[in-house]
Amino acid sequence: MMYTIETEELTKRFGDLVAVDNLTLRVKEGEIFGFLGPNGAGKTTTVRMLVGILTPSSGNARVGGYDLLKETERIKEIIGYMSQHFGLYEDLTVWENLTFYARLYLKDKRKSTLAANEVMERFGLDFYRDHLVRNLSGGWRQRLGLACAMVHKPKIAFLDEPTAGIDPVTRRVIWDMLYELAQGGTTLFVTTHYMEEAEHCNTIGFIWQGRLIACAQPSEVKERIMGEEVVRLRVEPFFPAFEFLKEMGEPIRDVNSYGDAIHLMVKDAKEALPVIERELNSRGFSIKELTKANPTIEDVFVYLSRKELKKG
Amino acid sequence: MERIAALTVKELKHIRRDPRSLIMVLFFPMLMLILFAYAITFDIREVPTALFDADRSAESRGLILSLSSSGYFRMIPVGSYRATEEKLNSGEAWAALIIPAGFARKIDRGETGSIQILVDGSDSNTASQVVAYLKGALIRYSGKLLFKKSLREGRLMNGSPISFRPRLWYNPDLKSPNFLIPGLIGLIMMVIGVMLTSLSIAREEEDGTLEGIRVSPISSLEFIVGKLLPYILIAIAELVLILIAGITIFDLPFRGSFSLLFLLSLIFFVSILGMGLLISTIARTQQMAWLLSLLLTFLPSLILSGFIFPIRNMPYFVQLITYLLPARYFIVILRGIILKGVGFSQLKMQVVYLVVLGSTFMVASILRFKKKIA
Amino acid sequence: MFSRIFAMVRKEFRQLSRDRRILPIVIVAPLLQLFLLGYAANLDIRHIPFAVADYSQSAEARELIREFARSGYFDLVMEVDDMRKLDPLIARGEVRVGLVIPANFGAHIGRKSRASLALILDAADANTARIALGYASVIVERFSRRMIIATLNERFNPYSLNLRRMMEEGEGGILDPRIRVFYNPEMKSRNFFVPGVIALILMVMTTILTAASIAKEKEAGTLEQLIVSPIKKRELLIGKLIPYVIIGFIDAGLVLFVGIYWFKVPFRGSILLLFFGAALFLMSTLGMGLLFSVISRRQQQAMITAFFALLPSMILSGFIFPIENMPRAVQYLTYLIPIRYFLVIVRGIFLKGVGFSVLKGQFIALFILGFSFLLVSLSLFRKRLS
Repeated sequence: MMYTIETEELTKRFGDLVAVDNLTLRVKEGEIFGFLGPNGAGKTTTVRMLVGILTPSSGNARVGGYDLLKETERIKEIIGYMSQHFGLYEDLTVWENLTFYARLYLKDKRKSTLAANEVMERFGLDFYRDHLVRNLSGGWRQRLGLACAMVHKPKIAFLDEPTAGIDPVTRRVIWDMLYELAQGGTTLFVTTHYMEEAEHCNTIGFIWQGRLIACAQPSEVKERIMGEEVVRLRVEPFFPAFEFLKEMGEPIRDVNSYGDAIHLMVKDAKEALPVIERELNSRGFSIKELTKANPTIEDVFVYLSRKELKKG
Repeated sequence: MERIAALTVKELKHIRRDPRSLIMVLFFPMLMLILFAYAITFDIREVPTALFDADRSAESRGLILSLSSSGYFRMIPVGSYRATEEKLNSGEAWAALIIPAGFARKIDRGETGSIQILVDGSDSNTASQVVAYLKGALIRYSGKLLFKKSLREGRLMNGSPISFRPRLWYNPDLKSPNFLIPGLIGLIMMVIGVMLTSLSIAREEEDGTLEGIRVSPISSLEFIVGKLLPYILIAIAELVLILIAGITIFDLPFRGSFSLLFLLSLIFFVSILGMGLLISTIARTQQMAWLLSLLLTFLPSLILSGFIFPIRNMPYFVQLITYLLPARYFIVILRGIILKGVGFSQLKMQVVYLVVLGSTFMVASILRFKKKIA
Repeated sequence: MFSRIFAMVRKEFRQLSRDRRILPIVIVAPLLQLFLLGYAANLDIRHIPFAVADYSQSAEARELIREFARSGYFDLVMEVDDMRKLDPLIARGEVRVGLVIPANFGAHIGRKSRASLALILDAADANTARIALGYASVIVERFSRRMIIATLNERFNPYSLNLRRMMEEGEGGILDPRIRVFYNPEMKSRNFFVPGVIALILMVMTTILTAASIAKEKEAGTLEQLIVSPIKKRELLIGKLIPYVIIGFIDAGLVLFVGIYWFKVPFRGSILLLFFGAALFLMSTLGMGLLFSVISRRQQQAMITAFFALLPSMILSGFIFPIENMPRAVQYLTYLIPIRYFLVIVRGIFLKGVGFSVLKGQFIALFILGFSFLLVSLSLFRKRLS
């Protein structure tokens, strides 16, 4: 199995701040790797190092078979990159942006035009061909940003928060496109802070305060990494119950709100359920639902970060 | 190669999308050239000279005639010595010629008649030319008188019938720094008050933060005041800095009242803030704001305000344009207070002009700004 | 209301101070201008270089030459034996005034008849020329009177027509200076300044425009996308510059057109050479602007830096204030200013009609400067985020 991205103790320091801390991971060819973490965790910094525009403080990596430190410019030829700002020119049209980036990578005017047309169709941007980027809504800009990153059909694509601030429908559309790309053999390194998107990925890496705190397939993450179990509770009145449960202590380890429900982390759901029921009922809360639930990625992440906090 | 082409094409497209800027970039230089080329000249013509002829003799009139026929001097006859001083102080006259009573009689008796020449030395360049010319002209006339006397006496007379020593006022050593440094204060204020401020507001527009202003409860006026106030503080610091440096390092004399200078500087500065604001409402990008303020306010002020080139020497239509430049009035004020030590009464007109000009700019720009924000 | 205003003020100061370069520039630059204006900017004309072709080798001639040299206004630079040798000296700018004393000078003065004298002035800089003429006239005047008095003391004859004519005309008397004004016969200082204004405007436009170029992409975040691509550093910088080269040439053409056809500044040289010079000059100004852009993080920074670099250039370039009048140390500094060389080129081609051989040095200097700016920009620019 070919690894297209391998990092080894990749580190980036900004003065006293360690933004990325000895990051070691491997991404297989053709897979979608999700890099998850809250804002400021070091996701963008990692991506910037891997695409060769930020020099690591220490450590190294191989991208597409090339050495990050020694063959940086060669890496740039085979990758695509979509930054958080999308790198789009506001006062140019969709078409002009696409052909510009195409020409930058493909170096041939005719080939560039073909590639731009192709990617424009694929991403459904035909309609907006002659619209100025300035006049496009967020969702369409994102699509264009992705299109520009992919116009030259790179082997590896780094997408930094490709779905930030996007409505769920468009988000689904974009992920469909990403699947297609991955099926075509492109390796995708995607960062996001939307936990539910992790379900879409082949492998997830959790990054927290610069450190990789977990790296596995989504199912694995939910089953093996999670050291606790989740109890799902719907209760009235919501907020007083929430406050009470937060103070309750054992067997409750953590309380999170989830829409109109509350997720409680417990060591053993079977043992905890009756205890919780008793405590709530005795205080006059009205329970609508109280069951063991499958942990979501978000639950796992919250658990892991709590663990890290306790460590540090 | 192909990549360079791709980049160039992109850049040209950017330019095409902003035709207003392109036109400005192409045609303003021409406009500037035309304006400046007309204005820049050191050629003196018609130096206004206050004239007090107390002698009114044939000899004195002969002298005056020979001087005024050259075209270099425009005589302003006055009735007293004090009047010539006043004309110099107010700037109406750049030189003064005083022929004392008894001038002709002294020459007749074979003695030397002396005349007084006062030259406003603040513009050292013009002053040098005036002095050089006067020297030559007077030596020549003196030679003529000598010959006439020789004819009358029947023998060659010696000596010089006319003696004079030009007194250079305000800047006796004709030091260029004294001429230029006061003007520098005005220029630096232009940079801060117009260029930096227009840039600052244009930046907010480019960054998109003007939107936040629209939404917040802050009023346009509060925004403007808040935006411009820091620059007033910076300008005051600059004023003090330049003055101190000028006085300690370059022996710049300071003959007037500092508080008056301070007050009038503030008035000037506030009046040019309106220009900066106006430009920011016209320019859409930072680049344009900077370029516009540079081309439309700074360079014209550098060249046309009298900072280096005397306004009087410029063609009349250019002189008319200078009336629109606040810096023009400020330079008069600066030189007046620093070099000549004049008071408010003599500078009244300048202040009036400044206030009128300034408020016009301010009002126009605030109105435009409000429309822009709304 | 005041709290809101105060909030804005505080924000503005914070933004200004964040940009570590702006505030120091705003403080230092005025002081710099002050120093320049104080030390370098000098309109007083002294030490005008002059040369003499003395054919008479008489005592009187030598005395006249001494008068000139002693006056404090003129510096005797060279004595030549042939007056044709004066022309190239003036063309090269080594000498501003030429004095030609004919062979019969001493004899004429001895015989109390009119002696003539030729004064050649480089009036490209009309201002200096006029003042030089003024001084020269005064010196000649005085000398003339002294000669008259010395030689005619005992033989005064009021009816001598010669004498009468000489003295009544009141002009030099015994000396009849024939004045030849080179290059700018009407002595219009405009002819001197318009080429300078052309150069100035070109410099300002191109430098400021380019200064914003790279910094703008940095600000907008699009530079990131560019440096991720395989584009090479030099490709990126060249691609960015080309549009400004085009604009620069168009601007140059337009202002030259106005200068020649509207202001009728005499144009005596080769237009091809002028454009070649302009191209080299643009290389310097664009290179400078690019350099500022590369080292700045924001447009504002770049443009302010460019502007404050331009101000001293304007003052020290010889545009208004003659470089010869500046203190030695400052004169050395002016060798780093591109527009200094271009001014010589422009004035030379317009007013003096000189060719490449005379201007060789200027062209080479411009090339070196421009190339250096570009080279430094290239090496300072990294395809990395800082």
